[in-house]
This record gives sequence, C-alpha cells and structure tokens, in this order.
Amino acid sequence: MSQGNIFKTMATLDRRIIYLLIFLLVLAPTLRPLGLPITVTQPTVTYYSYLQDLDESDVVWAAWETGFSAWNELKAGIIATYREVIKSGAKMVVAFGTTEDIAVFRLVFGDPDEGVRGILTPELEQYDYQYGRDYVVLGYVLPNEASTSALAVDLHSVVTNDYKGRPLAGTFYDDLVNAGSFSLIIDFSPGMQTNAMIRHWVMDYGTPMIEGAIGVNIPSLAPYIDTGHLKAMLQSTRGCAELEYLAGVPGPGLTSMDAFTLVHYLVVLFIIMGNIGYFGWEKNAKQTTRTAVG
Amino acid sequence: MAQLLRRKETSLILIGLSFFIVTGVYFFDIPALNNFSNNLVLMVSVLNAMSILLALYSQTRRSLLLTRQKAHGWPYQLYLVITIYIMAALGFIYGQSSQQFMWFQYAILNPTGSVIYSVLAFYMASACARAFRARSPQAAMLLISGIIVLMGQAPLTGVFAPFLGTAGTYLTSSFAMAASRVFTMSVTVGAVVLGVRIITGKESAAIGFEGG
Repeated sequence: MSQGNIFKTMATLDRRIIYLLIFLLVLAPTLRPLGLPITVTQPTVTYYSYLQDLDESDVVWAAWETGFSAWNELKAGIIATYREVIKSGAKMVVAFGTTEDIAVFRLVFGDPDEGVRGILTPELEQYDYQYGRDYVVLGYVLPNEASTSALAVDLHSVVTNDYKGRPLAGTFYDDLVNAGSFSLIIDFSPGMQTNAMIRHWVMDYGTPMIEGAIGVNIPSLAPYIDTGHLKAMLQSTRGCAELEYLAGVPGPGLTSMDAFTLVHYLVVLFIIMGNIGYFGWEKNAKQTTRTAVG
Repeated sequence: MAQLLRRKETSLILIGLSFFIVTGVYFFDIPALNNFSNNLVLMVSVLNAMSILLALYSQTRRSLLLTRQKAHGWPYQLYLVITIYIMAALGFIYGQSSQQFMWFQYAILNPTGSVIYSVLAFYMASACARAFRARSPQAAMLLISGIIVLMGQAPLTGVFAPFLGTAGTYLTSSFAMAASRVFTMSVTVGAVVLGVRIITGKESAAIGFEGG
C-alpha cells in the first residue's frame, strides 16, 4: 500500500468500521469489566454533600423527568441519589415530567400496592420507608411551565390526589404549602421543566436545587451553578458513576466507566487519524467539500 | 358576538390583560389578583395538556394517509397508530399504573426510546472522525479544545494526566460558559421582544392572524 493510500484510508475511514469498533468497545468491557481507575470530580463531591446533609426533618421535591431515553444515561445517579434520600429518612414528594416516568419510577421504587419490587425495594424495607408516611407520588404534574409555576405558588390548588387517584389528605403533604416548603429540589432531566423550576421554584422561593444532567445539557446548565441557582450538578454517566463510588455502592454507572473511557479515547483517535489523513491526502487532493468545522 | 371574538383586537386585549394580571402579582400583593393569576396559569396548563388530543388527531390522520398511499415506511406508520390506540385504550380501561399499561411501557417505549438515544453515539463518533478537520486556524483551535475536553472527560485521564482534566474544566467553565451565557441572554431578550411585539399587535401571525 502506498503512503498516499494510507492517508486516503485515514481520511475516508469507512463508517462501518467506526460503528463496529464502538460496538466492540462498549460490549467487551461490559461483559468483562477491566476495572480501570476513575477520579472523582468536585461537582460530584458537592452534589453528594447535599444528599449527606439531608435528615428526617427535610422534605425533598423529587422531579423525575428523564423518560426512558435519558434514564439509561442517568439511572446510576438516580438510583444512588434516592438510595441516599431513603437512608436519610427525609420525606419526599415525587413529580413526573413525562408520561413515561411513572414506569421509570416503578422500576426503581416498585409498586408496594401490587407487590411489584423495584431496584430500591431492599432499601425501602431496610429503612422502613413507606408510601404515604415517608413519600408520596403526585404523578405527571409537570407537563409544562404553567403547571410548574402553579405548583410553586400553591401545591394544594393543583394537586389533591396522588398518581392513583387516592386523596393525599392525612399525609405529610397537608403541611406543605408551596415551593418554599421544601428543603431541597432534586431534578433528573434531559431539560423538560428544569429551567421552569429554576425560574419559579428557585428564583421565587430560594429553594436549593441540585440537578442530574445529561451530557448535552451540561454547558447550558453550568451558568446556573455559577449564579448559585443550581447548588450542584451530577454530570452525565460519569458523574453518576462517581456518585456510586462516593456512596460506596457500585452499580451500572461504575460498570459502564470502562466502555465510557475506551470510547472517549477511540473518538480522539479517530479525530487525529482523520486529520493526519486530511493533511497527507485530502488537502493535496484539493477536495473542496466543506465540513462542520471548516 | 362571534364576530367580536374573532377580531384581532379582542385577542390582543385578552393577551394584554393576561400578561398584566400574571405579571402584576410580582409587583402588587393583592389577594384577588393572586388567586385569579393562579387560576389563569392553571387553565393554561390544562389547555396545554389537552393539546395532546390535537396531536393525536393530526398523527392519526397523517399516518393513515401515508398508509393508504403505501408511502415509504408505511408499515411503521400503521404500527405507530395501532400502538398509540392500544396503549391509550389500556390506560383508560385498566389505569395508568396497571400491569397491562406497564407492559407496553417496558416492552415498547423503553427499548425504542433507549435505541434512539444510544444510536446517537455511533453518529457522533462517525461525525467526529469524518468531519472534524483542521482546515483553518480557527478550526484547529476548536479541534484542540475538543480533544482536551474529551480527554479530560474520560475518567482514566485523571489518573495519568490530571492536568488535562483541569484544562478541560477551564475551557468549559470559561469559553464555553461565556458562549452559553450569550446564547441564553440572547434567547431571553428575543423572547421579551417577541412578547412585546405580540402584545402591541406587531406579530399577529403568532396569534393566528395573517399579515404579521
């Protein structure tokens, strides 16, 4: 193979090869974990400190907004976060931001009424964390900014029954008035009502909020950390894995970190190879096709 | 009466009033205004939720039309309509937390949603390999920044080259955040300007009237 051909191959790498390599690099370490070391970043430490500060006197507004798509990216963080909430004994009001979140929630908390066990059912039993006494589920009450705003002002004018239509009267929900009644907002979201909650819950009532963000939302939410509107942010799968590490309960996040690391390096390798090919062949061939960055 | 309700001026007056009522509670502590504002916001929320009926009608009409025409991918359109209605029926008959409804969530929505999301990884990696070229000094700077951030994001990098993580954090918390702020502020200012133009009747198309 001549030198020109090597450069040409690098510049015009068949996408099927790229797909295959990514598939293998995700599959192999998932089946046989390598146990590559990871470092814990400061944002995750800050996030974890807010969970550690919770106690039985606190009430948490738990916004579940991932749906199934973002669930896979954030599930490690969701599981680790709510395990800490259960351990702390803090009360929790659960609200959904998509119609799918009722099913996502059921995966994690199960359904005690129907005997369905969830991922955190052992912790619910261990810490005697009971529906009605310790947590209630409002259901799909965050469909848009208007509802998010209305809930912030007056919870009882918007929701009086739980997600199964049972009255919430007689539970700790009676003592809650508005967004200011909560000690902490925990939101896991691909961006559904996150900004609306910041505007109407955090800015108007000063309730502290921590966020589990998918990768593409990190840059757009980062300014809110700087302004103090978001107290901490769990950043994508990596942040979730770090939280598992801090909490001392390995799970799907840490398992995925080997693949996460290897695919990152592979992408960097592809970029470098593509550019070597570009300078060795494509540029000389005077191809004029414009690309996304040049 | 119907004629009056159809007039552009009537819509503008209602929009203006709604705006002043909802905004007014931030400046004046009047209980009656607060209650009315809350109810108004709640009504908007309910109306928004009901718009799903319109979406259902549009999707059904479109999918059935494509199916009748045997257009490209028509079996998927048919599958979509059938699953929408089966799922809605199960929800209405057995309830949204029933086993039957949940089966649809776990058997159809979960895998399809996950696949659509995870397939992006392949496209993004392919785009990185095939499109990111240092064709100019600006593109080269973007590439180098991207590589530093990517390397810093990989958990293992912090073990053997922690400075890359620091450099990545610096890039995202300075340049990227500045750009993000500009974007957020531009969108916000744009939204305010659009709102003012709608209230003053200069953007009639936004409220369903022709001719701007």
